[in-house]
Amino acid sequence: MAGWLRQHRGLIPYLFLLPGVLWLLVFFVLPMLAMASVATQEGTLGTGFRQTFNVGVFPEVLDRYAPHFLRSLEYALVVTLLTIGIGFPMAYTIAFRGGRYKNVLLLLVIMPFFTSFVIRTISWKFILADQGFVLGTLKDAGIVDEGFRILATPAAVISGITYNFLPFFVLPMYVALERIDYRLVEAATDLYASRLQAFLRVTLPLSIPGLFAGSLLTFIPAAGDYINAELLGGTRDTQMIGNVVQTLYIVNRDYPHAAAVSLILMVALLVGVVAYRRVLRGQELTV
Amino acid sequence: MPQPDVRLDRVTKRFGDVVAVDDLSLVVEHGEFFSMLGPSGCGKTTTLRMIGGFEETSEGTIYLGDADVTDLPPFRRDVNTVFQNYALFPHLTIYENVAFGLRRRKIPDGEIRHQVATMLALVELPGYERRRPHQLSGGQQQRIALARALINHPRVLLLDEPLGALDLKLRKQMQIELKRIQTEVGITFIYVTHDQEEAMTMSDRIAVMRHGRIEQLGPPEDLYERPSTDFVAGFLGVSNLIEGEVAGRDDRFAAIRLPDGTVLRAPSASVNGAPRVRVGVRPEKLRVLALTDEASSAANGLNTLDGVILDASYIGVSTQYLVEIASGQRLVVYAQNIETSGAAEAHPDGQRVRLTWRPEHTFVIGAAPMTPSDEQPEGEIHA
Amino acid sequence: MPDPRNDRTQIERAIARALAQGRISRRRFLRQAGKGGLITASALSLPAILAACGISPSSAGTGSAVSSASGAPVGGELSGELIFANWPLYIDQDEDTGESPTLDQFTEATGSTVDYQEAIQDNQEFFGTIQPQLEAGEPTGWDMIVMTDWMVGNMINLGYLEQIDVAASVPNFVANADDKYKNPSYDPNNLHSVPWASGYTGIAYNPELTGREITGFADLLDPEFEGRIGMFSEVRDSLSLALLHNGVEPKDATEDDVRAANEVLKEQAPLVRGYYGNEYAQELASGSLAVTMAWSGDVFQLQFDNPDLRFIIPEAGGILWIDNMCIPKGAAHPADALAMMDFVFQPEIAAQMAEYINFICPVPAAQDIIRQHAEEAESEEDRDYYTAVAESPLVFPTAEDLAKVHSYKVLSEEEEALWNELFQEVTQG
Repeated sequence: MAGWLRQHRGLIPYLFLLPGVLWLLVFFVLPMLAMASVATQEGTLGTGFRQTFNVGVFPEVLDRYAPHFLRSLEYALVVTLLTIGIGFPMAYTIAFRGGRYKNVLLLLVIMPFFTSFVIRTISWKFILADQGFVLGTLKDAGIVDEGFRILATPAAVISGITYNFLPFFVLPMYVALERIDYRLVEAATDLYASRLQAFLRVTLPLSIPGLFAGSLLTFIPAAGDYINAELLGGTRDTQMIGNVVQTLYIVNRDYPHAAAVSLILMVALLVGVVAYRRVLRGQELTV
Repeated sequence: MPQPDVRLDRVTKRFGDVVAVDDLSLVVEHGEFFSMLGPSGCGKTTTLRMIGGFEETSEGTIYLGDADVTDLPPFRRDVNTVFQNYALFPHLTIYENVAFGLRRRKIPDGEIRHQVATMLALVELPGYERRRPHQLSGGQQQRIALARALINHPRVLLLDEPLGALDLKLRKQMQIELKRIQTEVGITFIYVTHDQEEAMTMSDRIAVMRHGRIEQLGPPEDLYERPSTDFVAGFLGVSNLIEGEVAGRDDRFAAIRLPDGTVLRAPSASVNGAPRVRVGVRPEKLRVLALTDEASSAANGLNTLDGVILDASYIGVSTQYLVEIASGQRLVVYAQNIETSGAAEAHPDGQRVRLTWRPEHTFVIGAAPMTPSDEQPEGEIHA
Repeated sequence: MPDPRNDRTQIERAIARALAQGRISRRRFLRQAGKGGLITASALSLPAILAACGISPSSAGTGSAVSSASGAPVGGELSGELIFANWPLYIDQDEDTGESPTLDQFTEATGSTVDYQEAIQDNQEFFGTIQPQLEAGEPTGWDMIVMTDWMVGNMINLGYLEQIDVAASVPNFVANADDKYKNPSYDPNNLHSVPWASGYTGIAYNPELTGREITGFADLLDPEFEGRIGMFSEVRDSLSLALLHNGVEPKDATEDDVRAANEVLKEQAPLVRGYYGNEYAQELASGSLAVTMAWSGDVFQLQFDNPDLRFIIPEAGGILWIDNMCIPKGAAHPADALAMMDFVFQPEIAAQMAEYINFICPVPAAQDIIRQHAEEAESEEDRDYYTAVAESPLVFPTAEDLAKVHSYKVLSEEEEALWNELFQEVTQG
């Protein structure tokens, strides 16, 4: 074996890749194929599903659940913009002004991860309950209407997703900003760029890898999220595509439709990611 | 009458409890190549950064020409900086890097194109417009950093150890290059370095800095030939220092008596009145004579000291001797191998010799002995 | 005797305190977890995936693999072992030891040890895990399982349950069970099942928030309560109440009836705050819901913290759901399962469990025993609690209440698909 390897030195890098490739094959490619196979079957759980290569299922679910697809993309987009708006200044401050508190601040950012996603979201429910600590106080003080509520509204769902995914944005953003040599910013101001221009022309373009990673890490799970819509929304007009998949899969046991919806969501996200990458890469080149 | 381009008036900079720059005043003339030289932490880079506007002063005033710029941000100061590691914008092409300052000042595109081309020609990198910084070698990046700064025709160009990251050969080459460019564009350069040779090669004047203060300021040869402190004497090259007492002086020379009674002469101007002084002489000024030659040397009015060769090292261009004199002190001598070649022709260890040098080459500094804490030149990253 | 109110697992207590500061139904807490995307969401998906992968025609309608659908009732000698799958927190439990007194007493009385597992969190999901074996005619590994009435009906139709002879094998059921549980529509003559516990699906409300008494399903349609109305995500519950509201007996509902009822729900949807599983209880307790569909046992427990809360059976009718013990085909120890069925219908045992479970007790005689516990109670607190259980119409139902409740329809697979599809339009648009 050792002798053989010595003779075929060029193969060694591929051998190192092997575990990863196998992993992807078993846990990504095969399930994807299985999903595609399930999506194009017809039948019910009781009578069994038969492979009929029913590709008509894709336009069918796309049409049937168009509002949910659109709502998910809309929510995810708003969430991503909000996380950028909230997370970028956070990451920027930690990276450039954090000083010796950097690690403490980063710890605070990831602190919410020490509790389970679901528990965190449920705790929001209690904080924002109609008669809860926040709204109850405001209502008693007469600041908001007795009938006012935050939960079970699109705003609650969007806020919840934003909250839950904010660290996913802040961390890569921080890493990207932290890597920027501050002397580049000094160089820009030295070359007659105001602080704003230095930010726009140097800091921002150089932080694009972090912006890209962070916004994708936010957008993709946000588009597929159903927990927030379930716990903080719950009404018909806050149902996202993840809730549809969940209902189709677990309640209705309609596996083909569930698989078809999932596949469409995945392909849509994949196409979106590639397009987004192109836009940002182009961005990086210009001044 | 040259007008001052940069003037620092009693500038102090503190970082917390640490005083980085201590009550420093300085005038840099127009068109001058001015260096600040000193070891790590001497305050030279901090001073440069205050001129550039990257650090605020704690006290004092900075003038560019007649204008007080103490409180102006960098982009409102008519100075540009070449940073230590060049700080080229990695996301921009060479063209856009060089054009950066002009674009910020809304210069028309055609004009920018023209000026960038001119600048790239000046730094001898024409045709590199479309490349990225990471595709260039260190020396090439250095030139681009220079072009990026010079294209703005600043009143003053600040250079923060710009050659620090280059290898020795390239550094020598760039020193000459820098001097050429400075002469060509006629802009005032303020140059920060810890490398005394670099400073001496290029500078019109050098400020040797230590502990946030200027230790001595003057043309390179003044500093070298007539250092006024131990620190300067030690920082710029090697020097032999011998303690003595001023025994008398006339117009040209002062007589200094060593503890063993030997009298040495030094230029009168270098004696400032303190009775106890140290006499200094650079190793290359000394000649080593076998004691048999002694008659001729004394007659020539030279300073002489007798001693024994402890060690001789042949290093090609010269031979280095370590000579112990009567007081037990050891002196270093560099003897040019003009008429000798090879170790065999050097004075052997243990030979009694006489060291001679011209009184004009003697310098005298104050009585304070060098303290062990004084740093020697070394690479420095930041002030 | 330990205070049954404290008979809670640490986890449940922590959750109860953290989430609702109220009493969450032991059994119901996890029942809807899959639908709520709660804690067990991940646990649910694996069997679901397995079910999806095992894409072979099932025996629906044919019952092919299981031939003895009309075979003789099971019986025989005790084997000394019983493997029992039940819902979480659905049996009495000693606070200190974590053991169930009922199970211990059973072992003492019969010599049969019980391997008791809280393996069931959802009817469909659990069914998915045993369906392949049942279809292949192989044992499921369980001797006794607890399934809700409509699922029992489904499994009978598929020939997946062993027959039992209650007269011979479960005499305590014949002697002690309320008549309401005998000969139910989903299992005529109790040929396959006997009840474990049951409850109502009705309406709960907070009078302080509604400002008036609630009487029926029409109140759930009142725009005045917009955003404070809760409905169930469980299709059978929500559609059954709507059918009753339309004057249709759920058991007899036609497709048209269902579509009409679904229209009512669709019109109502803009007013609805959410379609809930168990979480409705916390929403009701926290004041976010003014009026909501509810399960009786939950409200009984919530009332300990908020005595104002009320539970009603809608005028047009509510649902009585019944969870049943049954023996899956091919069970290895059927005699022990029968012994357990018989054992829990002793009034003392039924009382002991009812004090913990708080859902409807199928044994009326247990009521007097709990009253007796109240009299013998050592502390006032205990006495109040036992009295509350004994006198609650949610544990020992009144005749009027029972007259107002109906059963789920046992759905064919086509019907179930239709109901789900229709109801999805309500909950998700």
